[in-house]
Amino acid sequence: MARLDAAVSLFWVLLGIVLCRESVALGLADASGPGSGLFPFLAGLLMLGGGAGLLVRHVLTRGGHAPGEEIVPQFWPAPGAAFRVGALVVVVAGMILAVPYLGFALTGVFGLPILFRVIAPEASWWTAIAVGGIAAACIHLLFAVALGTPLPRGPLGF
Amino acid sequence: MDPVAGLLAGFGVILTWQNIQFIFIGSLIGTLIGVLPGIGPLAALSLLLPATVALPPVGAVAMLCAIFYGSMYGGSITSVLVNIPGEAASVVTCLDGYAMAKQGRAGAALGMAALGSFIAGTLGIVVLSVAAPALGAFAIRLGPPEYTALMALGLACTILMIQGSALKGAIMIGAGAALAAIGMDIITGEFRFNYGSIQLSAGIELLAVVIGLFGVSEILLNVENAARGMAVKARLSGLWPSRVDWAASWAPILRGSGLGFAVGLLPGGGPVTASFLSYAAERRIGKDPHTFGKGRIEGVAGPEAANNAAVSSGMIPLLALGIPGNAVTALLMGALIINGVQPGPTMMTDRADVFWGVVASLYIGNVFLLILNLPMVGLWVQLLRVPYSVLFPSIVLLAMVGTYSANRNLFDLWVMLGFGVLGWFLRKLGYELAPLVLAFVLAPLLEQSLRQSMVMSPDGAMIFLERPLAALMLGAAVLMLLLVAFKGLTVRKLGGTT
Repeated sequence: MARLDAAVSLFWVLLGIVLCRESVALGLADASGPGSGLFPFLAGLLMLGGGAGLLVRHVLTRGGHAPGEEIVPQFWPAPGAAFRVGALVVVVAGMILAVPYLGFALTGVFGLPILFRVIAPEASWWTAIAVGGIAAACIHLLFAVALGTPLPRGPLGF
Repeated sequence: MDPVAGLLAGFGVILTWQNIQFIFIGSLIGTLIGVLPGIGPLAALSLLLPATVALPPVGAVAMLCAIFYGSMYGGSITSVLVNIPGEAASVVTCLDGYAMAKQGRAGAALGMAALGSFIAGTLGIVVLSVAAPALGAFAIRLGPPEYTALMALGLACTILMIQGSALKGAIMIGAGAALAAIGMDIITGEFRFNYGSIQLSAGIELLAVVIGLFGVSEILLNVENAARGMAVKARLSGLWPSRVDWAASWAPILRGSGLGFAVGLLPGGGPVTASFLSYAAERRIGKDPHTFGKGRIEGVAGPEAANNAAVSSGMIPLLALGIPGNAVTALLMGALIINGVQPGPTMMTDRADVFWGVVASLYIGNVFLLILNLPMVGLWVQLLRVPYSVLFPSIVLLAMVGTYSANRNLFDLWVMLGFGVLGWFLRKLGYELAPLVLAFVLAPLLEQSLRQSMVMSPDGAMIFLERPLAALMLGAAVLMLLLVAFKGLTVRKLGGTT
């Protein structure tokens, strides 16, 4: 984890440099006063300084961390964690892609059972479909019916 | 308007059937969120914020406030019964609360937690009613340089309060400010960092960021461990504390209320810090400190009072100055702005109905929560048996619908997912996300004040040193950053441990 932490610190340094350069290009000040780039420049400096500080600390303490800093000992804490997280992200991305075509309600009806099975593989598909359908219906009723939020509709009209 | 007249007017605004329903629903959801470990008040508020967009401003903010302090009440239930804090501010309640439950005194621990929370919450609201208008009247005289310095002080204080690495906190503040800069420059109309994208030209939506960072990332962290429902073994009886319990608890409740109120006022402070400090204070003051952690009711009463008092005082900087002190009040500020209300000193004159209505709603919410947490505690215990596999997929869809409903923009859903993954990754590396959200919300106001200040003065940035109050606050901010830099050294010299 210490190497990953150092790599992320380096990323902040690089991002800070890019942000400062882009901010200078926007203009830090002109005749009328501070320019559009001043504030993001300061934000970039903060990231650059923080990242550099972390890198220095990493070198000086040989990968040690600050008191109270809660870095997980292992990136994947349990067997199957990578699969569950990866699958959840992929399913949610799929649901986002499906929303314009199916609407939120149908996307939920199809997507939630898959999510349910990802999190609880021991549950049956029938349970997953029932839970997904009920949850999708409840959320549709809350937002689309009770609160009147205009949501994308699917081929079935909801 | 004096506080009594204001409060009476506030009750006039809030005491409608519709508003009462909103407060009750907020209290109910808040307690539920507090009871279910894995979803904190921040995640819950961000997920439910979109649902309040369609509501009137008073009802919307009253409901969100009720969710916040409801989660403080509910958080103690799992701490006492299963030794798992429902949210971070209830961590210390586990120490003595669970020990009491093992001794068969779960009822007394839960009763004192609810009553202590109620007393502290009520005292906090009384002080809020008096202090906020006074501070607002003072703040109306502040100019852009003072506002800039005040916000810089707030951010410095946030770095000081960070539990882990201050450097990581500073990076998060920089990242939040940089993210807020994306889109159109509010002063020149120039586009910044949009790279030709129409979607980015409008800036990044606050809701998508917070729902991703707190809601989605929390689900990702939870599904890693394949969590299941919990087994509640403790028996519940005798919820009303005995005379002996009251004798031991009244002083910790009052101390916790005072300490919590003071900590909640500080930028970066909040219920979590307040409860830890209260526990430390009780251990230091109380007789037989070695018995703390083994079932002392003072260890439940003090921290529970402190976290509720901190919720009330946290509203003061938000309502009186328009400056949120922590991520939750930053979200509440977002809710007010979405509803067309600008928090700050002018709110007490321009939108006195909202200000006093919200303050009055806090009184009503506290009464609801006492009812929900004492006679109905058995119902909440049953809810602990809901499997997470049912809960989390539903929350994912709720997050998606909530994010979309703010702007009706599908791009926001990708932003939500992206920030969810980013938040999950950063939390594993010990980054605290609250400073990012705080900076993201404060950045537009801070940038505007900074640039206005520099335009006001022929000497540019020297204006901050020419105005005494601004110079004082900036000096305090620098002092805080120096304290952070030398924190380890100072603590070691004083003989403590970091």
